[in-house]
Amino acid sequence: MSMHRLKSRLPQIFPELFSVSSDSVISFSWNAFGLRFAPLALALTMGVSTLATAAVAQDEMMSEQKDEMMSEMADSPPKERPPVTAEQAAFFESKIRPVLVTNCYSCHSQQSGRSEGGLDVDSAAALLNGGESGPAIDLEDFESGLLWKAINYDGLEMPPQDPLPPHVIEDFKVWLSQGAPDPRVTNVVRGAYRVTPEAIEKGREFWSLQPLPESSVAILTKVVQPHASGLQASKPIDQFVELQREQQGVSTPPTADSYTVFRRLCFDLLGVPPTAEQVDWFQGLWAQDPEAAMSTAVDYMLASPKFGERWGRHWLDIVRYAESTGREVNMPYPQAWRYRDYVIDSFNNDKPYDRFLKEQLVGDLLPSQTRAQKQEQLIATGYLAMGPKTLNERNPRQFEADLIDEQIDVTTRAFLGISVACARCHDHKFEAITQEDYYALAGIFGNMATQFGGVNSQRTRHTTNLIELPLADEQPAMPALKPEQLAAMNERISELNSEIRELRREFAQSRRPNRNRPGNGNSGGNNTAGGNSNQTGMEQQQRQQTLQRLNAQVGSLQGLVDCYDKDGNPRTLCMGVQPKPRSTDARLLERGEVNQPGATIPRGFVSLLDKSPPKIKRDSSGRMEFANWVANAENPLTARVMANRVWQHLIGEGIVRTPEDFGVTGSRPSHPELLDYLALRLIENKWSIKSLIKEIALSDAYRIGWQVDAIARDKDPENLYLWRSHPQRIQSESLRDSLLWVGGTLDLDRPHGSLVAQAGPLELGRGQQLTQLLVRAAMARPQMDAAEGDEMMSDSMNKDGSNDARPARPNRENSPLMADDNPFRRRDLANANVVAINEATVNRSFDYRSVYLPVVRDLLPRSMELFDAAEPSMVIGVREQSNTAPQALFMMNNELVRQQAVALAERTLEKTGGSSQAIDYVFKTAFSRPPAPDEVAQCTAFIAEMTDEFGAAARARDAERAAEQERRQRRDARNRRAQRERNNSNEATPAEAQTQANSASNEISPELQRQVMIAFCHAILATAEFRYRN
Amino acid sequence: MNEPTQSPILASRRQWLQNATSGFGFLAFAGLSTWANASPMIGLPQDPGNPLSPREPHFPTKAKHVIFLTMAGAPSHVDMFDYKPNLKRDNGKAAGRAGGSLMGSPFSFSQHGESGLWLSELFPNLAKQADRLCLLNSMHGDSPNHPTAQTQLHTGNFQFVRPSLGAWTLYGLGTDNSSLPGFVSLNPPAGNTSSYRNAFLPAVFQGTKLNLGGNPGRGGAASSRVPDITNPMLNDQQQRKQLDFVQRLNQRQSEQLPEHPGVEGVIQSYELAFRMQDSLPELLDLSQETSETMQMYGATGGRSARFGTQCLIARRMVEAGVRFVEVQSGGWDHHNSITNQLPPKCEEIDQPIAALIQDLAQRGLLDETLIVWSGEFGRTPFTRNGVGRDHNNRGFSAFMVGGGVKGGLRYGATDEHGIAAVEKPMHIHDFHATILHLLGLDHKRLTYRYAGRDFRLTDVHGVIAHEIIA
Repeated sequence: MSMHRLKSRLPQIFPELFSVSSDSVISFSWNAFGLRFAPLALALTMGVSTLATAAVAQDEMMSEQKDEMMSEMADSPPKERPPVTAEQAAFFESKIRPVLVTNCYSCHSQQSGRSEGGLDVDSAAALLNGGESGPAIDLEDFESGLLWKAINYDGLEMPPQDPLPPHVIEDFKVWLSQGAPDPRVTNVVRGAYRVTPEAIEKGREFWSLQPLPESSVAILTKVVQPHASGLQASKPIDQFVELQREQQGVSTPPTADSYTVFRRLCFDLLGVPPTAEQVDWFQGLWAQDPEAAMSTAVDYMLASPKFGERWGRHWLDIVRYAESTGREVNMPYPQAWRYRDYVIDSFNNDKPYDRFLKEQLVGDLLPSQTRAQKQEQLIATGYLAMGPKTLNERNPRQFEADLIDEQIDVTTRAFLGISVACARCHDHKFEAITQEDYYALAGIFGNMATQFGGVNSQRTRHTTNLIELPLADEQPAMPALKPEQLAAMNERISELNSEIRELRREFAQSRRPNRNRPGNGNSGGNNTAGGNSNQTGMEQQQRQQTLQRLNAQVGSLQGLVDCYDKDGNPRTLCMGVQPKPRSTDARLLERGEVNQPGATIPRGFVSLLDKSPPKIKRDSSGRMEFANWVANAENPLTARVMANRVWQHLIGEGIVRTPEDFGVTGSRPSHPELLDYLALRLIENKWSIKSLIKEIALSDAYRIGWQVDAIARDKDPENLYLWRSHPQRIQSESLRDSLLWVGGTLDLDRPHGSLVAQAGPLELGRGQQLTQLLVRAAMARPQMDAAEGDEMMSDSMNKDGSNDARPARPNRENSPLMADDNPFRRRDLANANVVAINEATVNRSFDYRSVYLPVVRDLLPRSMELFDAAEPSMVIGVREQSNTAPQALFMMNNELVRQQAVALAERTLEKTGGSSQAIDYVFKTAFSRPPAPDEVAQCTAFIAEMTDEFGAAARARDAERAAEQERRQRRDARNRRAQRERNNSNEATPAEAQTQANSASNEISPELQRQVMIAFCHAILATAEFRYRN
Repeated sequence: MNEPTQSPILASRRQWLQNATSGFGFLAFAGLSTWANASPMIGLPQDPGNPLSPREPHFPTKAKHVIFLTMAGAPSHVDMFDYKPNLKRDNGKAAGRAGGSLMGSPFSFSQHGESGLWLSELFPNLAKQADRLCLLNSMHGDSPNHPTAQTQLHTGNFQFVRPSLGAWTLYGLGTDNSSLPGFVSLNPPAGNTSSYRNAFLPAVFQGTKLNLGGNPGRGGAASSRVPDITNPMLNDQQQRKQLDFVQRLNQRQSEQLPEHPGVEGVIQSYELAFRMQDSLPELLDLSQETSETMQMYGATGGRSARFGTQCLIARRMVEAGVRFVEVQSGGWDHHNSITNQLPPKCEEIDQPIAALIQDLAQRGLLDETLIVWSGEFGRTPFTRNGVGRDHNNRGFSAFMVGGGVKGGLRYGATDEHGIAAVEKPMHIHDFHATILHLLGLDHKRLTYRYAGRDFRLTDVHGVIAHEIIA
């Protein structure tokens, strides 16, 4: 069925749902469903319209994990199976191989690039390994092998067109019964480089793998006590730091002033600067007692829900949180936001860190007291499911192996600070980690089913169910459906399905006669039909395309239907993992190749990290044992790695500067004893992150200031030993939050769900479409000002909503989306036809905290991407801090910044009436400190300068306008009769009238004052100081 | 191009801008305390207060600009620029120690131009420029992994954070046009800053990343729209006044916190950004180009549209005085099928590069512009799956055009099958040393003092390939 036919048929099928618009894209009216519901519209539209966009394959070069160490390879003998005799080889080459090549390779070989059903038949190993349905050959009992069954049309039917002739099947019988001797050289070789047991033994001597000392007190006694009398510092942390400075011969820095310290604290703990009032409050406390002031402020902030939003984001950086698969297909994860909220809540509740890790690894296995707890634990396992995925990977084994690899990689780097995934293809080059270690872990991770959702589509080859949660959402992200709506969708699905069946039948029929034409025994028969078969080929191709298209439509619709229970209520689902019914070990894959399975490796842990690891019972998946082993005070890495992260987020640089790499390629700790002390404090305080934060934040090290010391600089240019502070450019989320915060427009409530959740399950394809999705799902305040309108409105939507193609407004009362307490209420979901949009529009459509912005892989909002937000496909422990011209342009010109400058200016005028207090207020709000006298002078001069500037501009404009008016009046006088209407529309706006009035009286009008204040506030927001936490 | 400021693209309002900012320039740059670490061995800037102002090279040369075309994913040299008849002869034979079997190129090679350079059929347009090409057939590097090899290609080193080639070039030579970044990277891949970073060099030498048309390898035509380039609330004069005020506050901050790298970076970024507001939209306004030019670059449609547009933008940038322009093309990692995957990729770049060479030549700019093409490594001449090729850092090909290199030359060679560089091997360090040399910079004297040590792009390595210099 051609696209045309499809298009012409859809309206017939669902006349009330479709109207064919002039631009050849089917638009969709929601009148029929009586509610605003963008996803389905998009699903159906895209089912057709995306066809026009050819899928452009992109090699994911940066994600390439396979480490090809050609120079390290050496020949090694093939293993396990007996050698192939010359006779067997001859038999295979003459009788078997030609048959495979002729009949099977086109669909089942690496050569053709097609591995249908995951099966390749072009190597011995691939045959043994098999495809989705299992091994193709059974060496024990050849008659139960799938290949044998398939060629006998027993369950499977291969080759699909015609069975092989009986004598060929006889040949296969001979071959298979001999154990399928296969002389094809597969060149499987293991890397020559091997990690020896001695190397592992030696590797265990590495600093980060040493057991932690028995207690924090013990370290203090050992390290600090002997020097205690000579130390200025009294707090343990500072004693370690001071000792190091002394040993390194660098000076002790001055203490930063109280304003700087308070600003630091606010950014570090909450992610936004203090208000002017809070600045004054803290100064009052500090003046009485700095220590008490700090303690009070820290307690106050740790109790704020803003804390979790700030620290949760740090965690999301390292666990590559995102709401889509990324890569070529980029399918959204509409349920990923639950994990985001889980992380934020966990930090706010100060969930013990070991518990936090366990929930993420084995939340599905842990016992639970309440349904709410069960819910929380299931959501936690979303951690394992939300990695980037190549959904169009053809080979299911490859997909599975990549999935496990990604889970191992993130888990080991994020939780343990060590990279194990390097050992996927060969023993680790740098660390003493063997390929066996990797596959021991792969066994554990392979024993769970990762449920990430998704919908079937033309390019998606991998989808799973999601996990049903015990407690239903109070506010579902998607609106409920009426039973008849659900029925209509189901009906459409079955229609499409019957169409598909019909097509398949045609397809099969058209293939048979060509080969089985009676009397067409000689090969010459095909020649006579040459023209015809060409034509048939074209038809076949068309059918094939139509089939794919219909399947995609079914997939989209089914994906949507699956979100609902039978009554049309949205189901409450999450991503995560579930145990598999049977526990097995993984096989080592030679060079990481899925078609080259080697020995079976018992499940286990990384031998380098543990000399005598706990045993895994045969019937246990090993995951619980692994989680207990990771989230364990005895594990030398877990507490060290997290303590280092906490230190880094407060001090600016980690004690180990490579937070994901505590191995030999990573950096060494600048303060090893301090790191151990902090790790032990974390453990001793029942893994409380908040307690650790508090101890560090209350240290003197946290309060150090800036100094220029040439000697220290030469000795320690990297400032390892803290002879001055580490200024930080505030992170992208904080910058955007701060802009909204100082403008007074930051919405501190958590939005329910996410934009991506509202969009529902879909296949999105490439970035552009995703942008459209976000718009369709979320866009649009009903009224937009002209500037926005120009940028984002397509011709399909008019400002006044008069366009007929635009769906009618849904009934607000009926939709949970429109409930008053829904934070998305303003975003008029029905404006689904808005198509043209830029990222800035998405970015500025929300005023809640940036951690709640949609995190769609390859499509971060501009304000995030520009200011070095974490790349969501990677484990990011340290963010870049660039200063670029595009950032400068953003701060100078971007609408978000301009709007907030206006908001800050208006607030300032309101609070201060434009008095001399204004400068003070703006400084305290934006810089968390009062201005110095010279700054007041500079600001006053600027305000005066701009008052002149704008005043002059206004006067010039007025003069121009007056002249114009005069000209027009003269002209109007001439054409009074014809131009009457035009005259009427020529009145000056109130603001202009005001300006005119004022220019006459030579006073500073409120409008002029406002304009100047905006320019002033904008300048303040654009400074380096606003962007830095020093 | 001795007078880049004469470019019609940038003529507008320049005089006014210069007047408006002349008082400020010195102030802005005076805060660059890290500049004190610059080597006395580099030339003096024409304007001592402005480290970006042009500097004399160590010795006079032709090349003044670089257009660096990098192919991310590692293109297959034996199918493109390294003709290996013996590989075809030995097709199917075991590749020895390395495993796999040799796979002759599925593409035919023929000789082109007076020089008789052997080129693959995948480059019908580039072949017409054969006598201008200087093939480097003996490239090799240290890493067979994409991210690390990309980092080495750009910074010489993949273990530490080091400045990129473009940053070193800008540091060594400054830039002619103060209204545009001296070093531009068009669409570098997300999450890896190695291709444009300044590392320990002062922030002014960081490459400016311009995302025109999305990520590399995503296809589609490059858009020439720059976000946030205009301010609807303020006119130029008003904005300049506002910015001067911002910079005064920044400057004060910089005095309060001397040696604060961030504040200095912000100060620099504003000066550049303000000028870019004028110059960049004009530069990217391709409507000034004739339709013949657009078609010549293949910028009007088809597979070459995106890369063609970027090459055209690169030419316009060089013409306007930008010192170093990098254009990245992604998607060259062809493990699965050379036959199917390589031709469309070559089609993306063949016509644009040929047009770039031709266009620069006809404008008299080819002599002073060095075009450099390279992947991060090459691919194995053997195959494990019968159709694709894997990573090979031991031997691969790059090429250079213009900028004072000999044309129609094939420099160095890999072994008979193309596995490893054997004749006049050119390590990435040598490649860097040669590029700097072509720009008049002695790679041993181009140093920067950091952490008590003088660093250079080539570390302690680098042999100049004098043979390729015309």
